[in-house]
Amino acid sequence: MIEINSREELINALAEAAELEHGLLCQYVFAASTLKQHVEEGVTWPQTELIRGWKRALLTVARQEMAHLGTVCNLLTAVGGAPHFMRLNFPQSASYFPADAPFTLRPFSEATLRRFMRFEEPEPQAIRAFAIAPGPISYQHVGELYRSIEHAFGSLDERTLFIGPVADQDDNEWSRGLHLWPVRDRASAHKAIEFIIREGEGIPQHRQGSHYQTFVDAHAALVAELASDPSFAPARPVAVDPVTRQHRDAPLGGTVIGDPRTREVAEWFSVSYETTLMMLGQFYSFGPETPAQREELRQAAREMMSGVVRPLAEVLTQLPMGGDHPGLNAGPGFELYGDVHVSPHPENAWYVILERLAVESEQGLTLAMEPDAHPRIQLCAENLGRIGDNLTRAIEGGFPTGPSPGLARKASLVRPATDGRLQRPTRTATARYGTAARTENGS
Amino acid sequence: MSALNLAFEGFVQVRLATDPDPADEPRGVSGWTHAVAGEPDLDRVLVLHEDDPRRVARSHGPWADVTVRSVTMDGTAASQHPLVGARVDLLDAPKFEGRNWIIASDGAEPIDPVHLRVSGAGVVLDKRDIVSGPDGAEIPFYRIPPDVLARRMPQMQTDETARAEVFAALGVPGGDPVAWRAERKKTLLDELRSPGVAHDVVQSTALRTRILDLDLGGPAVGTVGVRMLYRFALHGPGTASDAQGILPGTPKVDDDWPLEFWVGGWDADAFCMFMRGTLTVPLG
Repeated sequence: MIEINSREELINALAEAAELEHGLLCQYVFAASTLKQHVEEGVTWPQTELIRGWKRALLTVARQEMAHLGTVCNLLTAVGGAPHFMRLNFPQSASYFPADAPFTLRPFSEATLRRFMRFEEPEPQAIRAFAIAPGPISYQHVGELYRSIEHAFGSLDERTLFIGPVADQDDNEWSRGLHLWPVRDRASAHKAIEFIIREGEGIPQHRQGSHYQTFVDAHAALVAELASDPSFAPARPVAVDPVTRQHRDAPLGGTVIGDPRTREVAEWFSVSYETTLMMLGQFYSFGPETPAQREELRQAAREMMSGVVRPLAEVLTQLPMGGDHPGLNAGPGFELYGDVHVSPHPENAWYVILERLAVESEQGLTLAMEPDAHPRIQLCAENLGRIGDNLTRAIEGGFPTGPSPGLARKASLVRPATDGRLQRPTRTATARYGTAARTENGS
Repeated sequence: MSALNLAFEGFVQVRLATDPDPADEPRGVSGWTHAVAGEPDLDRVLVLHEDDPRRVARSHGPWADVTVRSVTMDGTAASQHPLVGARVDLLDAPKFEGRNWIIASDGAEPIDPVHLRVSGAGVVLDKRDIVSGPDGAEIPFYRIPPDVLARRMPQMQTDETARAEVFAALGVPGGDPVAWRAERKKTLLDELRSPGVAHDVVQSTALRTRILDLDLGGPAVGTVGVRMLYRFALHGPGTASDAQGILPGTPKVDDDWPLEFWVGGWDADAFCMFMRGTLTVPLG
């Protein structure tokens, strides 16, 4: 159990939990996206059903991790912290995450499942010392981290701990069967954390349905299938930690995608994923948006996940790595090229998000026009454009808490013409975000 | 003005993935519908006829065949009209374009493209519906603003009258979709045990998946009693030919052709819905 004796340590531990949930869900989505779907990929029809079950299980766990991340943001907000969507790039060594298992993007396999089981394994261990400054966070299991956090919520003074605005809690069910827990006091914090632990590792008497048991069952089924068919390969031949470039915060280094077209799709995937994180950041910052605007933002983030991130992740596992990796495919690297924090000024935050969506849609449409482009790319590009349109319409009237005279005018810069053609941002803006989206006609 | 009214109906195939799967999910993973063993990928296309190459018939499902069932001329029924039995097609691979709420919410999905053709007895009536912007240019569907798209949006109907009509069309006994699906499951279990199927790996795998899916409740049951009512005029280029001169006038291809139809009662096991509606063709 980690000792947590102050607000600062609690916020640090919750930020760690947010980063942990985020990193786990990326790894689960990656593994799911590598799974084969067709007999033409060298599996039998019954094996496709087995594989589909594993994919469904992995994606369910990933969605639940997303809900956990939302609940952790609620916990952070409740005690005076900020929502946390940053994390380090992949891969990270076993020492980065104290579960003695590396954070790495690897195809679905028996070894991958064993690593996932390790993440979610019950049985907390180890104790560390405490110092005046916030102590290092050391734990062996996800559940151990949460138990420590839960213990802190029980021991810190409830009268002064919950300083976050009561209204700034997300209690919406983002998808059928997903639960987010609003946190307003010790009892609700306890309930939220208990739920996360129960969904992750289960309880000793009943682990069925927990993430841990899900991976145990998948592992057993995979081992059984391999025993009856040693040639069974459920995953596509996907590279480990595929990246478009090396990142300073991931010194182990990933496998750089050599094929230029694949690299373009991989970059497009990662910037779209970053934009999704920015939407979540704005949503959980509880800015001046009306309930309808918040709902549109929430909806947009959800649509990004199902209509862009997941399909593109699957597309990437069917595209060649190229370079020094013949026979291997790429995959979704979940790369973070820069800071995903949004501006504290809501007008600017929304504008940046809209600008990114416009550029990303345009880039996707360009990729879709290339010869032999994967057929799913077109729909993802269109979805990005439509999501941007929906958000633009949502803020046309500005925000209720103050004047925002420039907002509609700014938004119109990145809004498509009514004939559906995007106003093309300059090459500079396309190549790198952060540049004001000046249009080619100079407007 | 003289007008020809064609009432049409029949079963339509719709093979699509369901929430939370992406709209273009090829096999169905996290939702409650799946392409099963031996079947091609899901395509979302509304297929109106058994002879369409995209038709993927499942055992114990209905026969896909949308045809004209009755003809009315200026309000007077023409029961022996040669167009009774004419084929009704939706061309250009129309799809429900909700896209997981990105364009429209569940049950409010517009269909696009809309390109209707009625053919039979030497008559071919063909008309597209175009959604255009303020300057008259055709807008890519995914970019159509909601206010422009509104005329294409359906009204979701779940009231008792609607449900009763849907259940009657599908043949749901007692208006009980749960029992209806349970009966289908029993039929599939019998099929699975039959000697010809039990040893066929592909068929038996497919049946097992269908049987598991029939155990699902929630929307898989709820959508059986839902229909979407579309009511708009076909506004776009049209053509008409009448080789045998059976029409009492010349179809006005440049005028709008009012169209009203509902699609509903999704049999998620058979991947079929029922369609019923009327097309009004103004005559000169």
